[in-house]
Amino acid sequence: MDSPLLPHGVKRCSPWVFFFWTLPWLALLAWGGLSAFLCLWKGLNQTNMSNVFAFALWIVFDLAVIALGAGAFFTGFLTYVMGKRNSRISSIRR
Amino acid sequence: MKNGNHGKADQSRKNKYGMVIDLDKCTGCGTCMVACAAENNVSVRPDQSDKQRTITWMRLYRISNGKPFPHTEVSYFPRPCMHCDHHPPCVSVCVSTATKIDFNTGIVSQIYTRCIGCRYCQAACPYDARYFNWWDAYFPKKKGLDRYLSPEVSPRMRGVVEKCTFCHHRLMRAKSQAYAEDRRELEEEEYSTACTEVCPVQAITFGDLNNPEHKVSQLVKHPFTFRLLERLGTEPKVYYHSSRDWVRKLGDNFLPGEYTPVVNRTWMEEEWSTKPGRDEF
Repeated sequence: MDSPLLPHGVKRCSPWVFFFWTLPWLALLAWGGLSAFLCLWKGLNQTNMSNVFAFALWIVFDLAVIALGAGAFFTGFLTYVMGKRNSRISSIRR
Repeated sequence: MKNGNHGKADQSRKNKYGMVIDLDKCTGCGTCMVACAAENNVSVRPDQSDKQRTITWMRLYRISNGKPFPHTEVSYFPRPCMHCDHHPPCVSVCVSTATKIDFNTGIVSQIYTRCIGCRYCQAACPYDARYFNWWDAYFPKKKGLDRYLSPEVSPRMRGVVEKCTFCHHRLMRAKSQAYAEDRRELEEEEYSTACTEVCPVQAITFGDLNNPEHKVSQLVKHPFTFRLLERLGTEPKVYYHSSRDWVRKLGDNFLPGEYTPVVNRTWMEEEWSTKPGRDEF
């Protein structure tokens, strides 16, 4: 079904190899799941945040990392922060 | 009775409760901290030395002028919630209207059952006066801590922010008493906070800033009286009083040369001072 999307002359790997390469991401997902469970079950004291750092790394990921996950923000980041005005991404935008 | 001042003559006037803390008198004994915690059912942690996550509505800071030995001076200043006037930063940012300023009393309240624990107010408060309940309230059994619990103050659960309330329940108690005695006005000494009451050197004065007869409204006019981070425009209702210029200077962030001293002499420089190093001035 997705064959038109695949590049020519490239073969699919076997499902087991595919599963092997997803393991790191599954582990990351499991870590996130465990953290979410701990926060919901035991409270925010699990996060190592404190009254001094009320938001801590949470706000860094929320504002910096997740914002860069959005295409327009990322294009803006590349264009204006990194100065990649002539890169392919910018030329696609124009 | 929403407001203590329903008398016909005083219908327009509202109360504005405030505090003046005399830093020259304060010895840093910490009685205010203990009394505050006992009065307001502030829970403790098994490890109370983890100061980043413990709760201290009234907190005592130690400041120093940073000079070497003969000129070293140390001052302590207790820091309750400043109860900022008009537009407190915490009230502006609260997404669930859990904290409000009561314009009849000037008290910035915290409604625990409304708080969703986003800690936005903590980030907004310039005085670090707000504390988050990282754990459920904990009062060790058979150590006496469970015996002093006050039925007038609601306990806080895990996941809400709490702060100094100017012992709001004491105002309620005083109002009920006044209502029972068919009075409209509260006397100055009828309502005061726990920290005001216990201070052994009476460094804390509490009262109505709008009432010219109250002692606080006279004290705030003194040139030695200042407020913390006054130039932020938060208009705190907690005032500090110090005759020492370096203490007043630490009350705000000044650029070099920006601070204009009220007087250049401090008590150390006075003739009657017996402090070592006085002769070197």
